[in-house]
Order: sequence, then structure tokens, then C-alpha cells
Amino acid sequence: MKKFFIIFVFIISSLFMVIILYAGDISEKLTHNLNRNLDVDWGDDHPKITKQNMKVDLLDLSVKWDTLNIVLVKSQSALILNYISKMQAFKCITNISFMLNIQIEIKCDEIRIDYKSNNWVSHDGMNISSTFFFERRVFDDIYDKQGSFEVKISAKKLYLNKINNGQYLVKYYFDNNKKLLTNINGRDISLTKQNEGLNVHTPETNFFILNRNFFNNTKKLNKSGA
Amino acid sequence: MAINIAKDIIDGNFPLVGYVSSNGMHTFPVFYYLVAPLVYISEEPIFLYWSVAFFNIVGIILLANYTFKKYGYLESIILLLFSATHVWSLYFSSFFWNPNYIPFFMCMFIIFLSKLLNESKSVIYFHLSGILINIVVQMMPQAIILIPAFIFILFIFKKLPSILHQIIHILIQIILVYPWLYYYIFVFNWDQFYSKKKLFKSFYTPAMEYFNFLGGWGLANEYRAYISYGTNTFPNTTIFNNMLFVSGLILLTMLVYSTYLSFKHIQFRDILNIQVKKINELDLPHVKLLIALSIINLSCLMFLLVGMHVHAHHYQFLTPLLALNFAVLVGVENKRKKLIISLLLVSIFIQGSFSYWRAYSEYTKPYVTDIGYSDKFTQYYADNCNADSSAYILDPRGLQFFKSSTGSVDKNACGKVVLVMRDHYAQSEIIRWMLEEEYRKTEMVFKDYMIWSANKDLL
Repeated sequence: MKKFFIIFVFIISSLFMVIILYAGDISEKLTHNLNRNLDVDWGDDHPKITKQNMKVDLLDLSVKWDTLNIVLVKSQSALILNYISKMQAFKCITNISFMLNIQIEIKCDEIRIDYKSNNWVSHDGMNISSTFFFERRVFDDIYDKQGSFEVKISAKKLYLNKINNGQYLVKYYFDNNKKLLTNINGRDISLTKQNEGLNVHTPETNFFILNRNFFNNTKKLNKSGA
Repeated sequence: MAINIAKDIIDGNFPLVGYVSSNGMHTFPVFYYLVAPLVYISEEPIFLYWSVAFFNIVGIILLANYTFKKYGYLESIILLLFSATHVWSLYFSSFFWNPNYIPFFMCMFIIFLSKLLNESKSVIYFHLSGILINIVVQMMPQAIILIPAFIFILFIFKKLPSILHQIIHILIQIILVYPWLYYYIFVFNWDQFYSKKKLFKSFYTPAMEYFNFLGGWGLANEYRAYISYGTNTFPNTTIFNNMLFVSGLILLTMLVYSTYLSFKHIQFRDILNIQVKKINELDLPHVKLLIALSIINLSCLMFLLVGMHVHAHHYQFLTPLLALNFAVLVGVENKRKKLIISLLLVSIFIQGSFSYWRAYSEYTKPYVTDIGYSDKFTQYYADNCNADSSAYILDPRGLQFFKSSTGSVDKNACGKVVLVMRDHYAQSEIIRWMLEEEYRKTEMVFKDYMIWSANKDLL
């Protein structure tokens, strides 16, 4: 047993030594791979990403960049993904730490988000989107990739449709595979996936984005505002 | 589709392969050959539904009878009680689907395996066990983990037959899968093949789905992957989930203990020298079987190691195995026998309560799409609405077309009618909103369904 333990410690120590010795080379390789993967054009129905000076630092467990532009799909579809048309993040650093879950902290000088207008139909204290529908795979994809992440994003300046909203701090994590809990500048907002669509609950009111079936089969929605 | 393929077989057209599975490859065809005689008797879907339940009950009764004779009365009773209450096993026995006959073949496999381990002239049981594994794997390829587990069991109990019999058995296996091999060697166009990766997809899902298969809480949800319909537990979903979770936890704890207990009897010297320790003659059959069942059960770890994306139905080969594992555990354990029996009874009570509540709930509140009720609704609809009417079903997933009426012209012009279960109406604000905005409730009702109409004159 003792022999096994010594061998195990030796292997782990050797692995760490190799990582420390070759950290520069590994970081360079990771930077190359990350840039290459983000440069891939996945087609018209996928977001386009451009960036400047994106670098990975293995020992620091961080990713830095000067500019990151995400242009979302330019389609006329009412899919909720089309709500945001463009995202830009300037002078950012992302740090990753491994606690019980994976914690990601993104600090940016400036974030700009352009989004489309959304019309709501009011019903019994709940606002139902008449512009966009929700596709559960959007939620499921994020949960699959970030289910164990706790993400914190801070920006000194947040521009929403070109209007400066000042400093912003956004935190989010998944409570379970149906509920995403966010905190935006101290306000708790939950996003709950339901069969009928997505329920967005804020302290003041409830918003609902219907699934495609309800969206297409509800005549009363005024869909002209898309 | 299965019925049509089985009819083709009866007509002399023999398929080489089955349907295209989620990984992009065709499955094995044995299922269609096995159900062809049943389809020959009757191609009524309800008959085929009944056949699944019938064969699985027969399998369990044969296994219980064998257990009673070989291992004892108490073991047999536990096997029967567990089999009659286990949530997922009862669910999968209730409808016609390729993997749902697996429990019957696994019952047979376990009987032959036990005979193979305990009887001296056992080579015939070796071949029979191997053939049954082949059938199980053809019905559910993920059950391929049974093959290494079976070989390992034979290895540690020194029951591997002579080289001649091993070669004969390999030939038997090749013959059984030959149509499939022939198709992929001589017919299939590999240039157009695109495989969907199934390995290294998720290392969390196999563990969770295994636990779910033990406890059965996945069935406390109405909609889930690979479930045509689950259970509408509203408004008691959390209570049922927690109850079934506790049941799963009890069973998992006992499985871990049972594995520990059985592996205590194995002596590991080196990789080629694994032996079973000497045990007194009286306990020997129990311990041998417990070790064998634990090895098969433990082989599910393979799913975890390869990160395979699996669901509860992929564990169907465990159905009789788990029941017998717990039954034999009671026979082997002397010190904590009362505790183990008590825990088992708690778990059986929980799962039984849910299973039979579910059956009662389905009886009182059936889905209109259920086999048996769909035709009844067709008749009801024809009696009330003329042929210009069409029925839709509204549930939390949305509005779906169901069927058009075949009623005569003297019946009501119902137009578009919407069927909504009372539970769905009560639980979904969106359903209430949609109905109240666009439809009017009629006086028509079918089972637990309210019927709403776009035609305002129809009240």
C-alpha cells in the first residue's frame, strides 16, 4: 500500500513539474488553439466572433483580451437568441478558480450590448413576450456547458443600446437543470425552464417567453413588434 | 414499424438489420424475428402490449420458482415482491418496445447461469447462457457489458469450458449476428456513413440514470427523454420525488454492501489468479450467485468509465438481477438479516405505493392518446361532432393536432375543439391564459379532459 502511495505521489509531482517547466509553451499552444477555434466560421446560423490580442496564461489560470466582438445570428427568426444582436467586451481578463465548482470571474473595462425591442402582453401580473419565443435547447446547451460554473462578470461601463448604464456586476449559477439564478447589481432574477417556455422572475414582476408551439398557436399575441 | 417488419418476415422477406439507432448504425434484427410469431397470431397493438407484460411475468415466475427450489422460500418471496413493485420494471413491462422483452431473457439467463455455477455437467448451460446474452445484446446493444462480466464470472469460478466448446460458442454467436454482419460487410455503403459519437459524452449521466433506475424518480415527471408519457404527479411531485429518492438511496446502500460482502469471498493473488475462497457447502450456492450478480451489476461501471450517454431503459437487463441480488443478500447475511429485510420492505413499500398509485391515476385520468382510449375518444367525437370538426390536444408542451371527426352531418359543427386535462389546466398559467383568451369551455367532457371550442356557439 505504501509503495502504491509513493508511486502515486511521484507521478503527480512529476506531472506538476512538467506543467510548471513547460507552462510558457503550453500557454502559447492554448492561446493558438483558442484563437483558432474562435476563428472557425460555423456558418450563417452561428454567431460570428472577432477578437484582438486574446491570450491564455496557464499558471495564472486566466484568459485576457483587448476586444471581443460577438455578432449574433442575423436572422429574422423570433428565436430568443435573436434578442441580442451584438456584444462587445473591451480590455477584459478572465480568471478561473477551482473550488467545489468552477468559478469564472470576468472583469472588463467596457461591455456593449445591442438588443432588439421586445413587446409584451400583460396577463394577470405576468408579461408574455409577443416578439420572441424560447427554444429549450438554448437553456439546455448552456446548462450542459456551464451547469457546474459560477460566473461573475463585472464592467466599469455597461452600454445597453449605446446608453451608458455605469458600473455593473452580474453573477449567475445554475440552481438545477431547470433554474438559472442571477444577481444583477444586487437584484435577484431567476430564469426557470418550463415545458411552456421560460419564466423570468424578478422581484417586481414575472416575464414569460413562450415555447415555439405556444408562440405560433396563440392568435392573440400582437407579433408585429418583432 | 416493428409490426410491418414482423409481417414481412411472415411473408418470407427476412430483414438483415433493425432500425437505425441514435448512433447512426442499424440495430440487430432479432427482436423482429422473435415477435413475428406474435404478430402472426394477432397484429393488434394491444395484444403486443399484453405480450410484453405476459412474458416478463412468466420470466419472473420461472425465476421465483427456481429461487424457491434452489435458494429458499424467503428469497423467492423477496424476489416476487421486489419485481411486483419496482417502478421502472413495471413501467417498461407495460408497452411494446424492443428492449422491453429483455427482463424475460435475463430471467432465463440467470437461471442458466446459476445452474452453470452449481452443476458439474454444465457445458449446455454455458451455451444457453451465451445465446441468451446474444439475444439481450441484440435488443439493447449497451448490454454488451454482459459479455466481459460473464467471461469473468466463468474465469473466477473456473467454469470456462474446453477450447472446443469455446470455438463452437463463438461460431454460434457469429451465426446469431450473421445477418447484421452480412449487411455491414457486403451491403452497407460505408462512404455515406456518419457516426454520431456516443462515448465520452457524459460521465455524470450513467451514475444518475443508474440511481434513477434503482429509485424510479424519473417516472415522477410527466415529460422526459425516451418516455412516451411519464406521470402527472402535480401537485405532489416533490413528495413523490423525495420518497423515490429515499428508496433509491436504500437500494444503492444495500447494493454497495452486497458487493462488499460478495467480494470479501474473492481472493486476489494476481491478475491470472483470482479465486473464490472456501465456503461451507450450505452457503456455497448463495455466495456463488451473489458474487456472479455483483460482478454483472458492477460491470455497469463501464458506462461511467467510457462516459456513455445512457437512460433508464438501458439498464433493463438489471431488472430481475437486482431483485435476485437483494433476495440472495438476505439469504447470505446472518448478522444484519432483520435490518436488511426491514430496509428492503421500506423500499418495496415506497416503490409499490408509487407504482400502484400511478396505475390508479392512469386508470382514472388516462391520456386520450393511450392505446385503448384513443379509439374510445374517436367514437365519442363522432357521436358529438360532424366531419368538419378537428380535435387538438393542449398540454404544457403546446397545442397538437389529434384527429378529425368522422361524425355524420346531423351532428354539431364543433369546428376546432381543444382537449385539456384538468390537471394541466390547474397547473399551467399559460394554458389557462391561452384557453380563456381564445376558446370557450363546452359542456362536453371525455374522461378527465375538459373540451374547449373556438366555436362560441358550442357551449
